[in-house]
Amino acid sequence: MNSELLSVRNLSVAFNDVQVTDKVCFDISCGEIFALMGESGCGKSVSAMAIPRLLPHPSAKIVCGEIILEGKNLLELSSKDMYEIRGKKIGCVFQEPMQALNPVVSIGTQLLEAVRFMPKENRLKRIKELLAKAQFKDPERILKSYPHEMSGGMLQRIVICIALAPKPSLVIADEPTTALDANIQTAVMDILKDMCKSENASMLLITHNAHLAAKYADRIAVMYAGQIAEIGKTSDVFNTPKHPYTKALLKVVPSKGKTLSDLKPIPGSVLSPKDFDNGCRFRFRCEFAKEECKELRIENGELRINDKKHWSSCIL
Amino acid sequence: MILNVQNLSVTFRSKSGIVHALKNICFSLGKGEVLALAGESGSGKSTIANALVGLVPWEKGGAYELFGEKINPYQKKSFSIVRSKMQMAFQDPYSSLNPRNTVMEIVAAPLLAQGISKNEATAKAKKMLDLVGLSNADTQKFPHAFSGGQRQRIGLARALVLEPKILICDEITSALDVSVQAQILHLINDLRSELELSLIFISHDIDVMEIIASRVLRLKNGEIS
Repeated sequence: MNSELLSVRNLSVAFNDVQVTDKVCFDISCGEIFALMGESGCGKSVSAMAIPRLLPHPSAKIVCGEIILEGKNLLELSSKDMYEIRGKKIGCVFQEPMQALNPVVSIGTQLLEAVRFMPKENRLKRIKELLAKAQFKDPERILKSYPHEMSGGMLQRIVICIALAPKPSLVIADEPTTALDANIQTAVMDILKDMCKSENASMLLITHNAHLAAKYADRIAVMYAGQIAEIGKTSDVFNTPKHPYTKALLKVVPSKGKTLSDLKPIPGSVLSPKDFDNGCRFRFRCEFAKEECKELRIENGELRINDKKHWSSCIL
Repeated sequence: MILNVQNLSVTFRSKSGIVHALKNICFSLGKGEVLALAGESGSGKSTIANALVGLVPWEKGGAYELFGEKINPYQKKSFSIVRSKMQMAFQDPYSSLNPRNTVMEIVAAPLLAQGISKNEATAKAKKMLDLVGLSNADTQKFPHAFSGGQRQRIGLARALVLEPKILICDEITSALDVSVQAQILHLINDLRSELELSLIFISHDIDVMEIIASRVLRLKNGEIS
């Protein structure tokens, strides 16, 4: 069995004293692609950005929890140590490549900044190696270019190179292909996956796209209203979903061969964080909800570290 | 055929040069049909929609027929007839509604622009908001009080309040979550049969198009491919 790289335990985050995620727990093994899947506002980006401690300050606060990367609890580190962790251990790929890059600095300079922790003589070699892996045919020209001279897909490949340049052990990819055209999404995801594999990095993939999660992730956590509803191997979650939310979600995803009557809309809408209580947060929209759902749900924290079983928070 | 377009070309001129956004596009739309316009970003899907309602100028040589009536696409005035029969709902529910106006003001605006009295406009707007699933209490709220899906419902009510026969949906579900997308697709389908609409449905999502469209027009670099 693969060894554990990252363990997020009981992570709760509050924005302006309103708790938005509740006791989120998941583990990522070395070399694994783990997806956090869910709809807007369910807390997937907040949970992911808490790992490199990139949540907006001072509005966001980590209420409780542990984030253990390679045995170190990141929440106990000083800002200086954290700066080094971000530069060496964790790479980030964000949704908008144009906003992730500095428009007035050449691509070469931005790539060099990402390898600043390496010995000087190895830096250029490393950059060219990455550009080749990201399938850039003319690296010399790319290094001299500026972001506005490149397409969205090319820019995202540069961002991937920057994220992987310091040989991180974890890459957090937050909706990496959402801003790209459908036809280049697969190409960019393939490059991201292959590069993570060849660099021995694990990937935390944040996505709202079930097709993407199904195709690329080894394991998936489905989030709803700030909590993990279901977690398991990708094939288990998609073939035999346990939580009523996952079941309902998979029914509304358009796919080949489905007709409009096959898409069964989920009634109602997501609760506002102000209305969160201790019961199951999906009970208002759930066709199987019972009286006891008001009080009970299975805590995600009960999952032991390195427990890879197929788990759901539903008590039914 | 209720809509017939021949040789629609659109050219944009900028400092960096001339861009031929559409080149001799010809297509038609039948009654009750859902025609999907598919293609990558920049292929010209939205430009076709904008040209049909007169938001971008046509190049010389094009011909436009709506419900058997010839429309002169080179005269701004002729598009006021078009807009009473053809309306458009936009992609981004956050930027397509005026944040300073109430929902009632937003939905009644097209009626007032067509010279309909305020009382009649209010009554019609209320009826349409009810049809898209918004309550009476919502009419005095401002757009910021609504979620993305609800804002898209407001956009649809505004587009349909003039009782057009053709509705152009420009990526209306792209900014929405899948569960909300399913609600909106069902809503459009219900409205289509209730109001006897024909649709031009622009999307880059092949799965969504397969579900809703009866015919697909594929575009590449401003041409039908």
